[in-house]
Amino acid sequence: MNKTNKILSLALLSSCIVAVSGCNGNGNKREADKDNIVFIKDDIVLDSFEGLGVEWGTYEDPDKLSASSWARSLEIMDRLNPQVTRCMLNYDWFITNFDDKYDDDKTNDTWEYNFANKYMNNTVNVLRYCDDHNIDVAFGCWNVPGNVGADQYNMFTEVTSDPRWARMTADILEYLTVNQGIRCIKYFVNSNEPNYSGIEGKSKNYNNTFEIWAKGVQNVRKALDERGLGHIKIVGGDTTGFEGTEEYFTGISKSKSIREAVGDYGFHVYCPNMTIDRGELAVNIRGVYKKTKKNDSQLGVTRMPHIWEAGLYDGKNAETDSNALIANFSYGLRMADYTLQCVTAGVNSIVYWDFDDGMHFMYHEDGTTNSKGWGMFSSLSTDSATKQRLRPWYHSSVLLTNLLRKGSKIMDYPTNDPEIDNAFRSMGVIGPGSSYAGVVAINRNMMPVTKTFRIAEEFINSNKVYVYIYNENELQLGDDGFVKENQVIDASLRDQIEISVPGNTMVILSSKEL
Amino acid sequence: MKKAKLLCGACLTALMSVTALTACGGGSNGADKYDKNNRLILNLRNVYFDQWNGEDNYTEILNEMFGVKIKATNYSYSSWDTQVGTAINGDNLTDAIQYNLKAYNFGSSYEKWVGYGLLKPLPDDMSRWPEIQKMLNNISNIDYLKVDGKLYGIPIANDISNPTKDFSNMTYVYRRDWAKQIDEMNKNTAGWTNVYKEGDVYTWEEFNRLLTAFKTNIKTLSGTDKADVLVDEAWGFPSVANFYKNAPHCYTKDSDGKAINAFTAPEYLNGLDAAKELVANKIYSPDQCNWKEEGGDATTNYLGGKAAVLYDNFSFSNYLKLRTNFKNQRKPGSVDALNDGTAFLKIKGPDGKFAIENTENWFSMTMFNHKISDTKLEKILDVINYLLTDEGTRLAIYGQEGYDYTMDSVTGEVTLNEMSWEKNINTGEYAPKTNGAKYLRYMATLGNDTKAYDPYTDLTAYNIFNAWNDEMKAAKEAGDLRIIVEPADISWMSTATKNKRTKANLDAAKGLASDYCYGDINQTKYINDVEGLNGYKDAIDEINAKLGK
Repeated sequence: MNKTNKILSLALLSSCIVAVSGCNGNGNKREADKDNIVFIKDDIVLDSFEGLGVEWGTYEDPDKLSASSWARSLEIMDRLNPQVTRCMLNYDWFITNFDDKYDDDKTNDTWEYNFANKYMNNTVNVLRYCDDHNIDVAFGCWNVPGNVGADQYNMFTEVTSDPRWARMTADILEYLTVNQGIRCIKYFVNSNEPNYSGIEGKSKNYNNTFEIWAKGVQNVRKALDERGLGHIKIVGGDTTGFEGTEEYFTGISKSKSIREAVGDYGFHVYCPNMTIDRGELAVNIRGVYKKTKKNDSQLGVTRMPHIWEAGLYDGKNAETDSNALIANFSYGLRMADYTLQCVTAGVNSIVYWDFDDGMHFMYHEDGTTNSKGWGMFSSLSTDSATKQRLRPWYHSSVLLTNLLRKGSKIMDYPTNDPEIDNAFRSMGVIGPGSSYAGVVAINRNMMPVTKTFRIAEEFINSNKVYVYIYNENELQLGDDGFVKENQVIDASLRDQIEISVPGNTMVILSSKEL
Repeated sequence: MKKAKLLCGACLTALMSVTALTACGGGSNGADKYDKNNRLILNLRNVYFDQWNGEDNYTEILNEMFGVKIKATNYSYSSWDTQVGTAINGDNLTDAIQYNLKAYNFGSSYEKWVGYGLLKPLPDDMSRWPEIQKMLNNISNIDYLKVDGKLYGIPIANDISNPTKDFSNMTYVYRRDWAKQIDEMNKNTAGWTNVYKEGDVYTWEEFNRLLTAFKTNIKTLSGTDKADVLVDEAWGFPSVANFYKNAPHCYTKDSDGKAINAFTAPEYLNGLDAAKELVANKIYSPDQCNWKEEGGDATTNYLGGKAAVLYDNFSFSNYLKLRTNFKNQRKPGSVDALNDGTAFLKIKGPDGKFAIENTENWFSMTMFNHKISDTKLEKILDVINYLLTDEGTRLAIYGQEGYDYTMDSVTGEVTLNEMSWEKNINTGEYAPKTNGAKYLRYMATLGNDTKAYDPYTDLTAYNIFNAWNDEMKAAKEAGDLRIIVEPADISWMSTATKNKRTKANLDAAKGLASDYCYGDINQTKYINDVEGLNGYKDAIDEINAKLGK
């Protein structure tokens, strides 16, 4: 393979300026040089980013976790250092002694909870970690309780608008926040991907509509407020796919009562590779953003756009709910590209899908199961050694999670517009309190490209630039198995730094060690 | 959402036993609606649209090309008929539906739906859609599907590149490894003649000797007391009757051309006796008679290492599924071992011929909601026709030219782009990706025409499958394959009682055949019970009246 060019120099190159006129993500049009990239104040598209993270839900079979695998998982989580996560579970794990009065009144049914079980233990372990590490959590339940084939609680017709759903939600959140003292839950997820209705007999959600979901949100909002849990916001959507998301975002943004009941505009994006590769994800995100903003001026102000599940669709094996490309380097490159495109388009936090293969399982009709292979590794000792290993996209995610910290400013560059250049993208980052700065450069060309970078905004200069290269040949791992810099140079991002970015590679320049 | 309304009140609800009305997959119920880009929305439903809703880049290419917005929903395979019936009953069809049309339900579904005006016919002049027209020209028995000269849908071709194939894939696979193992175990036995036959072709005597050898050694081979020699998927029992019978379903003709009951025809009774003997000899699984019609039990046993010979419908996708599951569950360790565990077993019956039930060269039908406009129908046909062209087929199989592949303008050779055609780093197999064009092509063809060059095709499996097909084709040409066929003029004939009772009587007769083989009833009672089935005789009388017999 080609040996990639390293950092070349701190030269001031101006001999070949290719200036184009383009818009950055905030819509400001300006002249920009394709090859000599300078991030300026005008390029700031997000001025208080909320951080990156990864889905870390309650383990469906905590018995499969050993003490050593849990300890390893925490070590891996430590290095990832996320600032946001989504933790989902099933209410079925706790509901007991359900007494359906067999009348039309659902409010007189009674039930109890068994919280003294392995599921709640695991949930509390996850949430305590989040408390201790200042990670904001979107907590929720996958769907209304009941078995798909049975609907024993008679909840599939009304789904989340069933009054018992709000009561269960308030009970469980009250238990966690009051009884357990959990502080990190900032959002409640009013069921997973409500727009994905599926087919009766195969899905609990077959009867759902936006109106049903919205009624459920209002019921939950009221129930939480009555319990003194007003600080927990409700995710506005948690939908999947752009069409379904548009439907829900339109519904939310057009109705004062609904938009006031939700705390954000939250959605899932599983993106085809082609869309990422061509830089079109940012265009799609901006499209949804713009339409929603027309109805709700508070989008991006008090109600932020968040991606609560982020992943790549190509490679999905529907039978195993695993991704065949998850262990490929390209998955990490594309997820980095995905991240760049989303945050420069205004998404204020992203939660990747997902942390650990050991969390979720597919249950097959013949009685067999498989762990869902969409994680950064597998904690299951029963999985092969290959699956237990940290996957490349974990390392690329570590770099981004540690660079794009909560409170960061994100700078988009006008030539990221795919109509100008659909194969090279970059963004600037100013850390919280201007404590550091960084540049993310992603080259999706087959061949290397040479560019210079400079950040013209103020930040506390360390006079060092840590260089990280993510591709199959040059990713550097330390003795601890975690990513480390390829090079440290005595320089400043305030100066013009020239680099050659190899084909299909992400290079990160950072004034702090990541 | 939509409120379903009955088009024709009681007469429609009487059509089918399904009464529940849901809006699932109802779409716009025919009306022309446009998306934000002024593209005509097409709501299409198909059993093969599993895990796909129309949101992908390749569908978007088609959307742009034809000024449409395709929205896709699927049927659950296990309740496909019910879901179609529900939508029909409620007159709540998507723009295009897919129905599992068979000869036995032709009169009670298709013909009635046409009569009630629920389906929109194809245009009389199909010259605007030459690829569809070309395909239709090769559809078997297509004239029977026309009502007053009009065709109300597109029969979905099995293989547009091989339209003359008229035998089904209902056949056997077996544990060739076990057959070889038996020979290995007996290699020092004086006078032992190998039970395994090179090439997997067995005469009737050799087949029976193989079954007996399996029975003798099944515990050793399987490692369990609960293994069986021969298992049929329930719908196919008793498969050994195929080597005797001359009709696959309810009706056949005698030598005078008169319709008779196929389940009491002498040839079938001989087949039943052969099956009964295999039951008595504990060759057939004792559990066979308890398995459910929807299938899966026999395959589960086979995959569990608890059966030596399996009868099923081995379409390529089913055969591939068997191999995949066998690989996962039996962990054969090598491709050769996998091949040996899932080998096609080719049996010549007592008459020295292979025997396979026939098939139409199409499976199920894409039909159109009567409420859709001519414009919408034409748009759907435009899309389908395009997908049958060379260019459209490349979109469906390879993706977008430039991004997914490049094509040599002179030779036409296709080169896949490594970045978009990525392989799983651990398995070396191409990673799946969602291509709506491929899904949509299933509205017209099952895609067997593209298997040979589809990058996703498991070529080892395909070559084995293809070799079996070629061998049977050659046998047919040589007169060594007996194709078991119901006369088409009976199959597609519509009479009041036949329409009403054929499926029920087919199921009931198969149940009685099972009872007979498993010893619950004697032959006289079997014959009396079958012939006494409600409406069976009346249906035959009506058929003969129409045949002029």
